[in-house]
Amino acid sequence: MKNELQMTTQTIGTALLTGMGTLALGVLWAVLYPLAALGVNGLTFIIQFWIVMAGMLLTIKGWQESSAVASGARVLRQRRTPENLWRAWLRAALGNTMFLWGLIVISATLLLALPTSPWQWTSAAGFFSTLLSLSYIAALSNHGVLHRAWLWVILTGCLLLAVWVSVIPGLAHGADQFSQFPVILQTLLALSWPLFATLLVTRWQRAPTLRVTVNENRQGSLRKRISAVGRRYTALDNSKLYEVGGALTRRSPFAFLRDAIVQYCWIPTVALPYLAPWNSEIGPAHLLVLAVLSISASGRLICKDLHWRHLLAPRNWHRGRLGWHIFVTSVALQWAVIAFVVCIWVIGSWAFGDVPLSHSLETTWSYRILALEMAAATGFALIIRGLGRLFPVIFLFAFAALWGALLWTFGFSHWPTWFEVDADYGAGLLIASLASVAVANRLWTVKKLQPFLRLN
Amino acid sequence: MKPNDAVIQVSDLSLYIDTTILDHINLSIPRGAVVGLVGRNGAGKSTLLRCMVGLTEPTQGAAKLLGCPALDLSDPVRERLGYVAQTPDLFEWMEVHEHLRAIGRAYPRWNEERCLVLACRLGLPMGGRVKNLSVGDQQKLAVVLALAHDPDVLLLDEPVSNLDPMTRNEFMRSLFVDRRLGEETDERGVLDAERTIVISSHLLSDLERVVSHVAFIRQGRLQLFEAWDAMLEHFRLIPQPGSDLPRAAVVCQNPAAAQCVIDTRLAPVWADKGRALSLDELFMELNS
Repeated sequence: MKNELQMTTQTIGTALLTGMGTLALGVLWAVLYPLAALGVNGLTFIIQFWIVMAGMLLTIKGWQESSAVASGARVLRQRRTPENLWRAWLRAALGNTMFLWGLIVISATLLLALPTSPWQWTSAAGFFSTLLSLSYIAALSNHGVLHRAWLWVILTGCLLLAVWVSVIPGLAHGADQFSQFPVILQTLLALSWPLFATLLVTRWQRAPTLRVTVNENRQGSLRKRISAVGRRYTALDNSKLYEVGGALTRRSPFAFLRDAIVQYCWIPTVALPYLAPWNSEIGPAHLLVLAVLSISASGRLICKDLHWRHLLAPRNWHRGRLGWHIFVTSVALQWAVIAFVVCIWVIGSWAFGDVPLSHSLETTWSYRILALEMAAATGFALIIRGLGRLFPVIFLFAFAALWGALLWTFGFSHWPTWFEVDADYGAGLLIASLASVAVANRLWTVKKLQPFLRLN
Repeated sequence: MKPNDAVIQVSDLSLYIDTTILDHINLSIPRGAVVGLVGRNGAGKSTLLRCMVGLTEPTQGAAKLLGCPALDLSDPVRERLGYVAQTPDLFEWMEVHEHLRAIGRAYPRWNEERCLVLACRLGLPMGGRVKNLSVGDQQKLAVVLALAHDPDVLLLDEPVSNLDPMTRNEFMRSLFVDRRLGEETDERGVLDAERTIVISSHLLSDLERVVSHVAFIRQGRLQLFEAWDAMLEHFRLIPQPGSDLPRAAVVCQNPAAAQCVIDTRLAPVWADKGRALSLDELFMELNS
């Protein structure tokens, strides 16, 4: 075989992603290690953060490279290419992973060997080897190279682990338990990755047969399933609303989800001080918050199944109740994104802030009115967008004028309170939502959706 | 033909997966033959091709390729084999030129210049990612990957279904030009460079121009396998066949149209009756 070319198993994009991650961790390590060696206090959290980030990077790398192994097995086997090409492919993928694994294990062991480190240095190799092996097995199983049952075993194991660690207060204590495993068990865990890699090289002298066909795999892989769900949703971006003709170019469903997360993640985070917990007093200032939410929602309304096939189908696709259709889809996505962000916040504050889970969940529950406020804001957003080109501008001017008038009247600190956040306020929001959807049903037509129509 | 001459040897090959997919197929394809594999959708053509290259394990029987069991192809045999699947499976994230290099490095006979000429001839765009290529261009890439190492055996599963007529013409030409001529011959004086091709396609007019043999397959059974010249010469479509027609000479009968296809080698007196058939007509008659 001609070996003058280096085997590439990853796209430039994914290689860059892990490369940048490695570089960032390397820089952080280079700063952290001398400081920790000098015995500077308060570095425990940063060391924990470094270990968690390194674990995530290695998991991602493992998933990427084992996906490359799976695609190599599929393509090279189907093409009936000489087996030495497959062996070179496998070696390249494993070599890339082994390099990063070695780098991280050595760095983490050195870091944990310092007296200021929170965990035992012996646990580093075991932790990273286990993560990497599980990531490889899960990806190979997801792509149909190994039996699908492996994926479910690993997912169930992770779920059980999550339940187990949730009863331990904080990630640090969970990791303490891990580092106190018997030496034999830790050694076995540390050897799991090198042994697994050796097993793959020796067992797979020939490209393995995939257990599922390409089409089954396309339907079956977790990524494809998420992708298939994401593909059903279309963002009614502001820029497209008034564009006449022209088919919407097909966008990656993952890009769509990423945009949705970026669009809404500020609400439970940055905007938290301006939100109203249950039983608190609210006034005109809070109505301005609702107006901001409406403007934000108007820029990202979502429509489900906006495809020419649905529009041409008999029984008039959502005609006369398009407003309701967009409302339900948009609100569901907002709630899902906010729930996702809140979950990350709850887990993060438990893992790194030692905040008990019950406390975080209690705080989250106290802001439950936000769900109805988001719904009402989306109802108003539908009207703002549905009224046409000028209305958003008029709304913005009215909003600025109202804000100015309130400031003029009450100043910055003496704002009156009008309502209490309770069941009555919730019912009012619900009625307002339904009323705005009824108006939106009259405003939204298929013609308005044509610029967003998916043709493929 | 001696069995040793066969480049592809299929012996009593059957495949059952819930139902019979291939049913006791025996086929011996001689060196240098260009075989058109013809049949209706779901007849078993693709599965037979997959069995021939060892991608599907038969329930019974075996296939041999260049004397090597298809399920256990050695690297020297793989280096002489080109295969295009019905749905080309490619590294979608690679650039086209990257893909060509990645696969080409495995073949000692891979020729960069030949590869580029082929790509140009078929109009394959060399820039951009594979996943951004149209279906037709992905098929062109699969064809270039199968041809650029100058294989001795080519198995093509509907390789032109997504190609435009001009590209189809270029593709057909590419199958037969640029072979290594002037190389040493074996003891029978046959050029070692003679390429054996099995091509499955529904574009029968294209096939008709290039095939030396035709294999008809129906419901997993091999209906007919003959040299195309012999079929053209001896097969006749007879309307209103009389009772004096020998039953053994009837290849197939179409009672609805009250006509049949006969083999005049078994009924010489009928040689000047009826008319010869095109591949398209023969296909229709055999599947009516």
